[in-house]
Amino acid sequence: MEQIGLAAPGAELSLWALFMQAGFVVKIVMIGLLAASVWSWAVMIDKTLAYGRMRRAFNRFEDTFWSGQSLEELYRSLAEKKPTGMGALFVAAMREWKKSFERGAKSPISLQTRIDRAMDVALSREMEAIEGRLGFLASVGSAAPFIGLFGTVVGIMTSFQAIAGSESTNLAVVAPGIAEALLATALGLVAAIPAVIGYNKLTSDAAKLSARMEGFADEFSAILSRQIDERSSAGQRAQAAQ
Amino acid sequence: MRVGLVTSGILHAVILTWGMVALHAPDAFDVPDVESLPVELVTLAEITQVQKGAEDAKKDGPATPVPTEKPPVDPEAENVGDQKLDQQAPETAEQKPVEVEQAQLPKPSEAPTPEPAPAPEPVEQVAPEPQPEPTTEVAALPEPKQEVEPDPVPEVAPQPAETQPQSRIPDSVPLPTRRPEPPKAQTAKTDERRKTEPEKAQSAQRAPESDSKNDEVAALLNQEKASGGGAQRTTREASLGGQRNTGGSELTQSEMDALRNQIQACWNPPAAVDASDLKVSVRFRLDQSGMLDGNPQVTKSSGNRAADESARRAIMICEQRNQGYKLPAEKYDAWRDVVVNFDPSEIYR
Repeated sequence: MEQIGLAAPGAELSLWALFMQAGFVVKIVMIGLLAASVWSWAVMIDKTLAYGRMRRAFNRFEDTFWSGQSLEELYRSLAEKKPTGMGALFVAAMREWKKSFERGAKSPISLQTRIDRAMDVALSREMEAIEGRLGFLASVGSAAPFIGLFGTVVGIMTSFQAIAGSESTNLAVVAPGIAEALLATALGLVAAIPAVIGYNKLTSDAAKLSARMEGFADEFSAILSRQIDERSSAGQRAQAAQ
Repeated sequence: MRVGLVTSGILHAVILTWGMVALHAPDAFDVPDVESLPVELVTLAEITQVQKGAEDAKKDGPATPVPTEKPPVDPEAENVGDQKLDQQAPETAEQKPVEVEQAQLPKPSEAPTPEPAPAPEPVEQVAPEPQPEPTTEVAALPEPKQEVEPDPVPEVAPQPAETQPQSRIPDSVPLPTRRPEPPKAQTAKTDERRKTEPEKAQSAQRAPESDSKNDEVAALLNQEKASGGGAQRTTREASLGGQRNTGGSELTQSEMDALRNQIQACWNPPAAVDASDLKVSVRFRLDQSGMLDGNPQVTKSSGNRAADESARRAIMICEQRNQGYKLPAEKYDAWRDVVVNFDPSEIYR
């Protein structure tokens, strides 16, 4: 059996000393939890910045969209620089529209359906980009305490084995091993608590963005539908005049 | 994504570095050195049942009473008792105050009066002497007259001659060889007896074979003196006791309470209108196992037959229910004979 040497009574109890005294398994758990914390914070920072950017982009796009500018011109200006968010939806819908009219599609109903489908696909692709990596936050939030607990249990197990080996139950002998093991749980909580809070915040933000895009998609679909109807009725009138 | 990762990494690094610098080992608990206080459980019995001891005794010695002053005289004695010497007399339980008519010690001047034969003595003493004396004296004084009256001289001479035969007569009477002593005062402890007894005993020891019968007789006669038990005698050093001597065999307050509770649990107090006035005293004897010895007796009746019976029944029921009263066996002397006062007013209050 592996015997873990216990710290002498009154030993250093600083963070670094506790980490160095810990056993192999506990060290791995601690390092893993630290990495998870770093990564979850990275995700949170990145998402917060990204959502802010996206919100500003939506505002700008909506301003230009409702400014009375010609849709053809807007499409031409956007199609060149790979757009995201609402712009992507608009480009996808306009591309389908133009393709249909360039080839002289006759059925207005099937055109409407195709445009809706194209916008759905673009929406889901955008949502994927928005909600990506949020799952990691959820995993850290729920699993990190357990991982920390696992490290603690292992640490206490080994320290009890060491106590049995040292044949002393003095609290000064027992305490450092337990303190070092409890550090793993503390790290787990340190990683989990911000992850849970951040996950909830970012999920609600993503839901708002998603609702906004869906709203735009519906509006744009309505606009295109009106255009299709106007054009088809104009075509029928022209045919009737001939 | 890279922005977030770098920011997060820097943030963690900063916090960890700060933690390592700032969060060093917490200060050790400042626990004052408290000496473990010795806690002693003092029972009530130690206060109520002190034994008189010696003031200069050691504090941690065993509890022993003051040793009696006189050490055992005869270490090879076979019989227990308070006597100086081993005696055959059985112990008597208690010393009764013996009413003794103390004889008045006769004064030396009166000593001759109770002589058995006072009458002949003066005669004997006078008898030889007067024979010549009166003749000489009488003859000497009236000598000048003698010439004048020569007649009385021959008359006087035959007078003592007459008395002499009178003195001869009581010769057959036994004459006392020495003066008989006045009768001894029959007190239990006179100083004389104290002195004489050991002398006698010592002489008996010197010649045991010859005086053994006498000793037995003396022992039989010696029963009037209480000689009960040698319990107070100890050769051990006295312990540090109290000022008073309480004997040590009395029931303590807590033990009395225990007995009271035992009886009270079995008592079904009388349900009368004036029940609080029905005070009963019941006396009963217990044997060493705590069982009743004989029937409990009402010593002070309340006047109500039911109340008396309930008190008596309580004691008998309690004995049966508890398989005898639970009392400290070493204090049997204290609870051999118990009087319990049943007072319903303490319950109906």
